[in-house]
Amino acid sequence: MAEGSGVDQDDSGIVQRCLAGDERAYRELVEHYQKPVYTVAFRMLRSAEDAEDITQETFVRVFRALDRYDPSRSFEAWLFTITTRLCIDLLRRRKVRPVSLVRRDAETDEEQSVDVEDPGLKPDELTSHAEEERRTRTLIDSLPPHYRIVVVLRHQQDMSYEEIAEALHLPLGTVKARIHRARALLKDRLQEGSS
Amino acid sequence: MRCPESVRLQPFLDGELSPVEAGELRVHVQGCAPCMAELALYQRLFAMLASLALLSPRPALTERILDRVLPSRIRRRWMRALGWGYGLATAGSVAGVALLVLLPTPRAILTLLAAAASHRLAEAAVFVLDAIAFGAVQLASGWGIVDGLFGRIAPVVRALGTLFARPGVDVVLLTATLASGLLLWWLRPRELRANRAGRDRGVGHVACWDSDRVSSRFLGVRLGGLAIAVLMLLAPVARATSVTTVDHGTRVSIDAGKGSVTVEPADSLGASRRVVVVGPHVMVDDDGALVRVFSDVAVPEGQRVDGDVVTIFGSSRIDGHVTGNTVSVCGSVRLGPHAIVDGDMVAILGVIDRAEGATVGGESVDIGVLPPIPGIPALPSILLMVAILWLASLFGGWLVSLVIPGRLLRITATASRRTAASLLLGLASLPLALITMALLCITVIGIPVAALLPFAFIIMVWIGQYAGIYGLGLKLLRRRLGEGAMMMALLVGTLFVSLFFVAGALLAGPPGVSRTLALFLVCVGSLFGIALSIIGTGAVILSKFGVTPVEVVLPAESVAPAVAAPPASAAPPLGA
Repeated sequence: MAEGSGVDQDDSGIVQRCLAGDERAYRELVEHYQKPVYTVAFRMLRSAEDAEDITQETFVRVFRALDRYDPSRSFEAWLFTITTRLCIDLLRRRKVRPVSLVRRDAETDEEQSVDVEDPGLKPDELTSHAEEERRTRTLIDSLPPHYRIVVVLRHQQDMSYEEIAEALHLPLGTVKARIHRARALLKDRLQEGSS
Repeated sequence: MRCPESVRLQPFLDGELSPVEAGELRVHVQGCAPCMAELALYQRLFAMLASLALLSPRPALTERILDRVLPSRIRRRWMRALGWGYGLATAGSVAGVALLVLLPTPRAILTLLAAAASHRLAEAAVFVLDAIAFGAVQLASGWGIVDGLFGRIAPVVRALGTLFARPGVDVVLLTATLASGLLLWWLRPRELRANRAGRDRGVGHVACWDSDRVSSRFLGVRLGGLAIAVLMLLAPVARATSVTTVDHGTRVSIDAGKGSVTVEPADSLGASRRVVVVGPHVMVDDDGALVRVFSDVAVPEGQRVDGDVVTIFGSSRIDGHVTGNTVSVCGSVRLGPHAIVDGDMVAILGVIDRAEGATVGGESVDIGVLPPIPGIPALPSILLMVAILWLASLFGGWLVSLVIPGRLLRITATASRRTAASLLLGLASLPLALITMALLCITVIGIPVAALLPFAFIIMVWIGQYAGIYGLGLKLLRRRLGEGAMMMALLVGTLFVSLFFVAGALLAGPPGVSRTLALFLVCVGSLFGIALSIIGTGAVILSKFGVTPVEVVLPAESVAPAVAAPPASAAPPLGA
């Protein structure tokens, strides 16, 4: 759930005000959602500059298509659909293949975890909250993009499985499987870091 | 070796297990050390993930985004770009023209082109030169051009002044204007009153033509109409300041103030000739003028009219001498070879047919579209004409409703919600179009666009007219915006306006009060129709040609695109 979740209930109202030409509503919508969008984009792209560009482009497209927004659907899911697709497209254009934490077994078509080098955090660094947060970010960053996005949407944006499935246009089962596998990977990394 | 139960740890922490399953897992975990350790790790991971703060972009990002999305800023950017574009185009055009004139090769090409120009173009050039020369000569005499311009307009203004000065006509026009205003007032959306009363304005609430109180307002219009009719009938009577007696169909009025005696048939405006005796001087009609409504006027050779000759919906044939102006509205003026008109000769919506030898002391101006047909068409012809025009307008409405129903809806909504702004913009639209054309012509490369602008303007007025008519139809049918068949509302709206003309045509036959009423009804129909067109035209511009307000959609539109569009349009490739 985005910061200040009370506004979520009024998303449809804010959208209507935007459609009516109320420019204060534009500002409210941008100020309310820019951090979540930026965070998701940053987690996906790992570049502040690119994340800002994607955030801007996301809002431009949202406002351009606002008149076609269906109030019965989750605004947040729609917003993150745009964000994630823009991010994925940028990653494709960058042709950056992040080191995958999974490999697909050709016979069973099962995803299996592979070892990834820990970016160098030692147990004594985890004493402060800041260090803990840095470690968490590092852990998330070490995930491949398709796992990273579901974890970020689930735990940082507090979205339900259904909302994530809607936002990413994926079957619900796939979303659940990805989240479970991503968390299992993270748990393993956490365990290795602690031992 | 992992415990098989460990696969249920994540669903357990997600709260996806049923209370019974959760209880069983808790019991299992108490006795299974690997599961206990794994659960602790997951709990720590969940806590770490939950505590992760949102990232903050640089503060400038908000303004950067708003610069791209706020309509006012987008508009400002467009205006700036337009200004630059216009400036550059003008500079380029000036430079191009300068090069054409100065450089030898382009000049040679230009010469060739000039040589190849047709005889018609040469004639046009001569005409332009002649006009410029005339203008220069006029300019030499000070404000000659301005005088010349006003000289062309002044007779029309004087003619209208003559028209309005006629007793009865001014009252009819005034009351017709008031009645049109009342009709527009009746069309006013109820939503505005609700807002003024301080009620909450639900965005997207499209109750523009809420008709709960239509019946009472109908009553108000009826009473208003009755009052106007009474006022109209009383006004000419009030002008008589002295004793009036009626006997054997003849009315004799004695005006003590003027020292005049009037003998006339006992009817009203435009009934027949009236004879006024003021001392030794005998004049035709009062104030020495002839005024006819839905009737023609003939001044035979040898007869003298000491005043103006005015016809409304009628033509005049002058063979004698008219000391004042000759004015025909919706009619033509025909002058015989011995005719003398001391004042101006003006035909509005008609033409002037002046025989050789006729003398006109003032200006001759015709703003004509009607052919110089003498006489008033017979009632069946008029009714047929009204019916044809009504069917044509209905066909036009059908075309508009077929091609751009959504836009028509939004234009109507704009006309309803922002009536005053639409009216002002509609009034200003023609001068604005002319100014835009002039500005485009300056850039040279904008000339083709300028040439297309009149057509665009006509289409705009045409669509705007149907938006107004559609709003009227909705009101009459007591429907809300978008409710029911669009064609039905257009049919009722066009029929309502046409009925004024039908009633006018029917009442124009018999002389007397009914002709006055006929003039009144035709004026109301015309003024009301014109007002609807002006408001509609303004609304076309205000609604950005039917793009806004976006929340107003056709019933069919409101479901499909809203559901389908966001996923489809949500994430096209970046930079696409």
